[in-house]
Amino acid sequence: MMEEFRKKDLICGLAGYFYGMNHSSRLLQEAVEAFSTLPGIGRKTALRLALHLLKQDAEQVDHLGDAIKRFRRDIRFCQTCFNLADGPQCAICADTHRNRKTICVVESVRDVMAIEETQQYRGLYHVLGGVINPLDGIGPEQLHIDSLVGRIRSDQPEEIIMAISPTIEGETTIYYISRLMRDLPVRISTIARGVAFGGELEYADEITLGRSIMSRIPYATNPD
Amino acid sequence: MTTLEVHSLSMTNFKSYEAETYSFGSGFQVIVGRNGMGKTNVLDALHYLGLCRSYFPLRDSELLRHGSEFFRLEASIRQDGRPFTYTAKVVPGSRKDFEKDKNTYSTLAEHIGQMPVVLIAPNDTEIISGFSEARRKFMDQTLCQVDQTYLAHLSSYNRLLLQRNAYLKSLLQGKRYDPAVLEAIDQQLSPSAEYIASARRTFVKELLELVRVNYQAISQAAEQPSGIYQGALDESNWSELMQQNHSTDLRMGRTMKGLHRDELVLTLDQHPARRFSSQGQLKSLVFALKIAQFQYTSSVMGRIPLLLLDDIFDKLDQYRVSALLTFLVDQQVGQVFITDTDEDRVPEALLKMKQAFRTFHVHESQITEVTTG
Repeated sequence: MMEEFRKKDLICGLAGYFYGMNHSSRLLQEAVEAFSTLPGIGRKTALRLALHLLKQDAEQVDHLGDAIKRFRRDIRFCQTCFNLADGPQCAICADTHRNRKTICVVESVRDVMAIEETQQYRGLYHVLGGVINPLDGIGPEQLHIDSLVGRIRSDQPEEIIMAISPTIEGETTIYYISRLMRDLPVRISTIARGVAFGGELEYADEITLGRSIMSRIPYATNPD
Repeated sequence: MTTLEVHSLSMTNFKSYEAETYSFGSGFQVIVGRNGMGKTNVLDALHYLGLCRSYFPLRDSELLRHGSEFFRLEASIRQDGRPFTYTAKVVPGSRKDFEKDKNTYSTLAEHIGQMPVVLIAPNDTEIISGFSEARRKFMDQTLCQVDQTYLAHLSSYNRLLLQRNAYLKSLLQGKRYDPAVLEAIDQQLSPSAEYIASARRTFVKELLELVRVNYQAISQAAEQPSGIYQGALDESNWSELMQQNHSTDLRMGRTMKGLHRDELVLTLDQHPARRFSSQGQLKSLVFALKIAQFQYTSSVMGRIPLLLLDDIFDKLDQYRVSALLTFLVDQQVGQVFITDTDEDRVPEALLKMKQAFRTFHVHESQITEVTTG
């Protein structure tokens, strides 16, 4: 019995050491705690990052700290599309070479980055900031929907592309927005949903495959 | 018609079982033992492997063996003449993976229907004497197993209804009303609701035919069972129904009418079975209903499900036990698992009927095969 207690004490002590209860320096402890508030970073990784900073020049570390501070303090949301920006307008909205006749509607800033990464789209964006989800208390008024309607009235684009996830909440949002625009002279499209490129049919789930069959597209022998 | 046969079942940390593997044979598998020894848990393990959930209203965390953090179930199966292995790995609250031959399904819905099972237990009398929810659950369970599209529509319906109710509730709490939000939810609810309603209607019609024949065969009584499906969409479509109840919904802060209120009324000689049945009639009707579920599942899937009979011979005399078993044998059953507290009556009856069977004795979650001469 006694032996078992001692073993337990030893394990608790070690765990305390590794998980930040007993660092020799309070400064180190604070740094570790700060790092471990970040997503995907546990105590061990936080400790490794903190100790890594000690090996770097003070100047380099200052630069890192400043970058973080400036980013948080100075970042803006574009007044037009709500993408991340340095000033009142983001780089995409300010770019005169982009096609102003199409607006791609997305849920989040990360979706803008994903679409930009494809280099297949040269139009503008509109970031909603989420989808309609009453269970989480999110209605249309929490999203940038009014401003989208305003943009369509004033800028009169030809096409709105709904690049919203095909979930139940995503579909509700697409329908809601389309309904608002029923009387506006703009074409509304959604991104294609179907079998993943390079995927095999037999592994596609039934709903996706069924939908792909229902909304099949004409096959062109000379695609442009 | 192809059959499904479980050759072995492994249970790790599942209910009363720590780590056990058992082998089974063709035909009837009779599991005998006193109450509380773990007979039902074997059937529930098979049910879990087929439908990704317990037959009983238990959460995954309640299926864990006391003091463990995960449970694992695995069945080696012969289906359509080929061997398969289905595995369930569950860490309640964080992970729930199902595998077919060691390949994890991306969603549980893909697995449902792969290994069809029908379980009959004493508390199935709830289907007749309980609230309408029990009857809706009965319809949904049957249809989800045979129709993947039904399963998908049912889960969309439930999710959308939650969203609809959350929105209506937020209006009561003072949020500004925007009719387009309800319209956006309803236009998605509509196709799911229509699909579910029409599938239930067709199912009930076919089911009642089977129930009538089964009831006559089991009870040999003169009374006629019948029934009717009373659905929210019997007389109007979804958008009309929502229009009609619009102001009530707004006032109450939830969706007052819908498939979630549908009823399957079962009758004996035109009287609601729910109120007028004797204990004997109730038992016969439940058995007729559950066997009809089994027959329906077989015929739609073209595959005979596992039939799991939990303690259904309780308080029946030897004559009734033989009569029920004779009826079962006539129904083109595949592998059948039967639990009973009496060690002899089911084996004796099967012996007389010259049916292939194996007997297992369960004592404190240890199963041993009883060798029969």
